[in-house]
Amino acid sequence: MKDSEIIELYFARSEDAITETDKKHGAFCRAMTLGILGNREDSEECVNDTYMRLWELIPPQRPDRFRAFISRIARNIALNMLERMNAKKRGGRYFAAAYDELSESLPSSENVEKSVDDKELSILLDRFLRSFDREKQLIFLKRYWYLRTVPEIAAEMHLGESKVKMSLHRTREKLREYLEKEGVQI
Amino acid sequence: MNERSDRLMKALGDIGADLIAKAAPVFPEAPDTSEHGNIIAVTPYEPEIQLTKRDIRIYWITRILGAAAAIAIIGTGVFLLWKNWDKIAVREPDRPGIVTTVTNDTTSPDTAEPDIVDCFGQITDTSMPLPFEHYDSRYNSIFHDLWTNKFTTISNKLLELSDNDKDLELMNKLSETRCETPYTLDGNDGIMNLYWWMKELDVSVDEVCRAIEKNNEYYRTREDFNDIIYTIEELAAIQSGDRKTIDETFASEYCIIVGENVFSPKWLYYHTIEDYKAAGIPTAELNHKMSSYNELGLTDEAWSAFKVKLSTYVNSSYGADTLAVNIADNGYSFSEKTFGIFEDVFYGEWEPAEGNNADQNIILTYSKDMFTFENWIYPFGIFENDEAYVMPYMSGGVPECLIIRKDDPRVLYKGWWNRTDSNTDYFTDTVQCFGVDPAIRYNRINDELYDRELQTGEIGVWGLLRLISGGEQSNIRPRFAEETYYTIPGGFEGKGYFTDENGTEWVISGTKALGASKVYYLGGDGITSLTLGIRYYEKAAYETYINEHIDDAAYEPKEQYFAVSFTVDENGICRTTHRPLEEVYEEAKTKTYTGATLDYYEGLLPELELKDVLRVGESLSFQSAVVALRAPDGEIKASCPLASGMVGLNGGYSCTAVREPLVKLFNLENRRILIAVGLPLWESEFDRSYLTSFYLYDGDPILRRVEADGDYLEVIVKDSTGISPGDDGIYCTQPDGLILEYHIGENGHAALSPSQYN
Repeated sequence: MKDSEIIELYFARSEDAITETDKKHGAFCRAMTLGILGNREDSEECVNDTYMRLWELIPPQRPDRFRAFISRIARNIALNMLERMNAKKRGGRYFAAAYDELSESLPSSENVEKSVDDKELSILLDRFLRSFDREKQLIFLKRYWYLRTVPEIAAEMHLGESKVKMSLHRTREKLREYLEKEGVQI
Repeated sequence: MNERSDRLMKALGDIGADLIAKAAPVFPEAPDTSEHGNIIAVTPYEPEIQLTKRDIRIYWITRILGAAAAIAIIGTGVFLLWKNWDKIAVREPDRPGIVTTVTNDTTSPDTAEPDIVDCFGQITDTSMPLPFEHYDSRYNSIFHDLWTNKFTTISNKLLELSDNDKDLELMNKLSETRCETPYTLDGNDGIMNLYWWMKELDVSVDEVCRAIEKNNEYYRTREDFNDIIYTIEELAAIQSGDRKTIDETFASEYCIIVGENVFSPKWLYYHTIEDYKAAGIPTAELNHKMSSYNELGLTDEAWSAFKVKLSTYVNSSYGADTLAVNIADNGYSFSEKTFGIFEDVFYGEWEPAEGNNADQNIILTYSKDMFTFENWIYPFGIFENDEAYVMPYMSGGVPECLIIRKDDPRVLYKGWWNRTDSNTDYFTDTVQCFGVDPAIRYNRINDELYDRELQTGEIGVWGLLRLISGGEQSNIRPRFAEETYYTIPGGFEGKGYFTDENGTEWVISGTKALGASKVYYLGGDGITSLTLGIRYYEKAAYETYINEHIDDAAYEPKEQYFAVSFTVDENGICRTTHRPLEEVYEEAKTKTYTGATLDYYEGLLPELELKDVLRVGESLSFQSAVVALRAPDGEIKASCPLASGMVGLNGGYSCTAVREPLVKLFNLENRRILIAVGLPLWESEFDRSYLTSFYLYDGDPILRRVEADGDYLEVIVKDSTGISPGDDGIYCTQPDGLILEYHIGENGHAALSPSQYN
């Protein structure tokens, strides 16, 4: 079923909306949240919560990119679950490593000019990523959005692992410099 | 840091949906049957595209134009080909020994190895099982990695020094090659490293070091960036440009360096023993690294297979300078020379000899303290043959040994050993020790090899006599029972509480949950006076513990030891006073006795009563107790039991160094000293029961091994699974009590005494 048709089911408040969503995007969601949470039970719970949230949001929202929309919700729910469990370091093994790496991008607390809210921070990150070429964008997002491992990214993108690692390292550095230049306090 | 990282991670979640969609990975469709990381080829997700009329129009126009262009190009190409056919030749590839690209399958690299040919030949050992079940970034990286992380990442600061296009070209080159060779710094293997990057991009070492130093300055102001900061030694290595120095500085601790080649665990895993030989992998170093390879996170099957291969190679005695000493082993720990040889031969400071690897360039100080259960090092005694002295021991599960050759006793070899024959139950097999090549060799710093003054021997700690059994205090109990009401091991019953001068109330624990009570004898004759060291708990804290935390093993209320003095006055009334134990202990330590004759016991020590014990102490070098006591004839006498540290069954040894402090303490002349046998002092306490296990040493070993017909000597230690040779496993538990019996052959013998032994 096409995404547009699935969305229509939500608008019609048909319970098939969830079934069809699960059929088409369930595997994707489970795999993604498994990487964050580290166990199937939590991943399953997260996916179920995602569907509930979708049901609440659609309507009135009518997402253009349905999978991206679902992914975003699932990811946020997974991160919140980890936070509640106070288990950042005990999340999926992939998450812990990515989380640690990303902390390298945190700006120094010196030269802080302004604090930004979450929305503004997202806009900054969006702008930052768009300044890169596609390859660097994909590598960065696969790693820190989708929590893919370096070998997985290398295999998907037909790149050497060394190159993936180097790209990530440099992008993290650039992000840090960018946030520092913006005088952003996180 | 966590909250900030949280924000960043979450904020990333709300970037544009188009970016998120673009980067969506390919996940398996059936996650129930595969873990995250096993990528199976599936239909990639295609976002829906809605075409407009304009899109369709543009599509057809471009299609027609494209077709026309294609025809023109093909026609031109055919024409040119026809005109120049004879000039075109097929070229051989320029690069010999071409490696294949990593195959483009979508299985995880660590669950199905691609078909890789290494630069020096095919990967030879295809029998090894898959090393990992799942991908784990830490384990996988230490399996693969050649260099430390900082050496393999080229930061943006360094990038500014170079031509970005060239850098990109270099990166792309990395995508094309993947060798499983022993790696070198030359980058022909798909792995980035700083050395190669500098050479390829022609960036000067000075510029690089300056850029790194600038980075260091920044990172030092941040938390958690220690992995990125270069040390002075590392910068110096880069500055030197010397490949050997760079290898030794930056190679992963799990790798082995031979010449200019760095061998990762993965290389070792996938190559045969013959390859090891051809590559010159040093057996000693490999043996040394082996113990760290259990950190690779291999599956049980993979680790077993790997261990077998490595051990087989190590045991094959490759290496020109191997010192192999075959010792006929009569058993562990019972050599009468154990103790003495250790003191004279292995004890001391050793500096690295020329030729040692960098990681062996440390001064070693061997003392008896080093070989203790606390340090998880278990010596098995010292053996000798015509060639050498060898002391095998277990250190953290690794069988190591120290070797000194008799023809050059100033050189210490550090080696490893293996049992080569374990046909019998009780270690009567052969131990083969491998010395190592000059890479791991030390020279003695102190030339006075046999200088007995090296022995410390001094009494370093005066301990407290701990009461553990009731029988000894039976004469005390009736005197104090009514007044004292303490419940103490040994039968005292008395008041279990008091209030100190500050108004704080203290109680004695009534529950065993807080651990065994310890009561120390401090002084007094036990008839009219007695001073005991007793542990108390602050009352309020103790009650809280009882009411709220009794199931919490980690919770302990505040405790303090007090010296409790019982005195009985002329009217028969017993009074008690309490003082903090530390004060009394300090006083007791410095007390001296004058006017008596110090002599030493001959024969068995009598069963002592409390009043007989004046002082107990600890000999540092001998790890044994020293007891000063008042003999039945009123004279003050001393006894110095010796223990080997493991079993306590050593023969005697001169107690010169112990005698002198005693002489000083008692202000007496030196006399003949007697040696006795006991068990090691433990935590500065002296167990009362030691006093019953002292025996005479008359110059001969107290215990002799009975040989022939497979007889063995087994020692059973109270409250311990024992130190008996032949236990399954090489680890020995701590000796923790009195030797209750011993066996020779099949006959059991109760307690130890010279008469029974002889």
